[in-house]
Amino acid sequence: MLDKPKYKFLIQQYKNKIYTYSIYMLRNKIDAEEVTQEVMIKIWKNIDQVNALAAKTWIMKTTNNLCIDYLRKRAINNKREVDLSEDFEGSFSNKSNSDDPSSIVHNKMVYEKIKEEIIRLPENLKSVFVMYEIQGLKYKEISISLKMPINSVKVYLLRARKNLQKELKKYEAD
Amino acid sequence: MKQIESEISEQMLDKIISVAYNDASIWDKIRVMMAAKRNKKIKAILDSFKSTASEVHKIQEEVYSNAQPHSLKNEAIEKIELKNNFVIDLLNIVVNKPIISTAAVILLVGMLVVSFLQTRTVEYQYSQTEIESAHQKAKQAFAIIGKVFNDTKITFEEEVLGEKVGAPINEGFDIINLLFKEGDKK
Repeated sequence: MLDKPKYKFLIQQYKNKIYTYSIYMLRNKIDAEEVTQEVMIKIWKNIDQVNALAAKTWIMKTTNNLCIDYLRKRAINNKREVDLSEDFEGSFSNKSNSDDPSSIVHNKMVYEKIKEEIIRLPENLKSVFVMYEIQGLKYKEISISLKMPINSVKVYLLRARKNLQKELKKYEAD
Repeated sequence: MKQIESEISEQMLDKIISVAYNDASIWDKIRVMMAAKRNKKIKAILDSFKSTASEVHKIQEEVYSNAQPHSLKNEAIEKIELKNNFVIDLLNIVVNKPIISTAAVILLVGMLVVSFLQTRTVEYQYSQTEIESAHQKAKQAFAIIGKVFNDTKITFEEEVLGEKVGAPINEGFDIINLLFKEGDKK
């Protein structure tokens, strides 16, 4: 009886999380949309078993599994790789307080570069980094979603941060 | 920068990164801040990571606008109404604003407790001594009533029946006997 409101609630709550995670993992808007739709179908099919208040880890685990499937398929077919900047174009939100055009442009470039470098991180580091830094999941939630010990989550997060810093330093040096 | 980082222990670097990303313990924060004050190299690394962390934290989630997937074949999903619903709004509040919902629940429970305490009828539990005392007093009361009835009965039998009723009747019979005797003589 409460399936529809429950489904609507879950979609409202998690559609952006699913889409964001997919787009960082797959580097492709079309594939990310497809994964998001597939996750939504899975949510509907399992709506009876899903606890609305504790669905986050189940949804993120499902999203991660689907992304891995897509990456495997892509590795076989080796198709549909789209330039990263094209995918993120338009999603940039200018948070700079400065009115100086050169400063705005610089901030935008740094912002885009960081996104780009996040996407270039190795899969295992990226999944932890995106879940923690962008989606705000806790260590325990990431540990359940990615089926890995909490200590590994912490280590991967640290490595991801170091990698990101290293790549940004290279960019600044260039 | 790489050279500078190599001069700092790996453990210290991990702490610096955690502080920069704002998820270090309070002790680590203090340690790193103090180290940064003493050592310019540490301060430079901390600032560098802080700058990146600040940019990372600005990144927002991508917005998925296609809430009703066009490619879904499942009729059940296609029929889902995306109208506002009280249950959904409530769940949204519970999930997104846990402090407000917890405060509301505490307030509600408090009101229920106060209301319960105000309307509750006090049921006094008598002690065994009080019960025995009451029993004794009831016995005494019945004894007094019994005595009064007994006295009334005696008074009725001895004084009322004997003197007030029996004597006039006897007198009546004596007069009748006398009248019969006089009648026989005539």
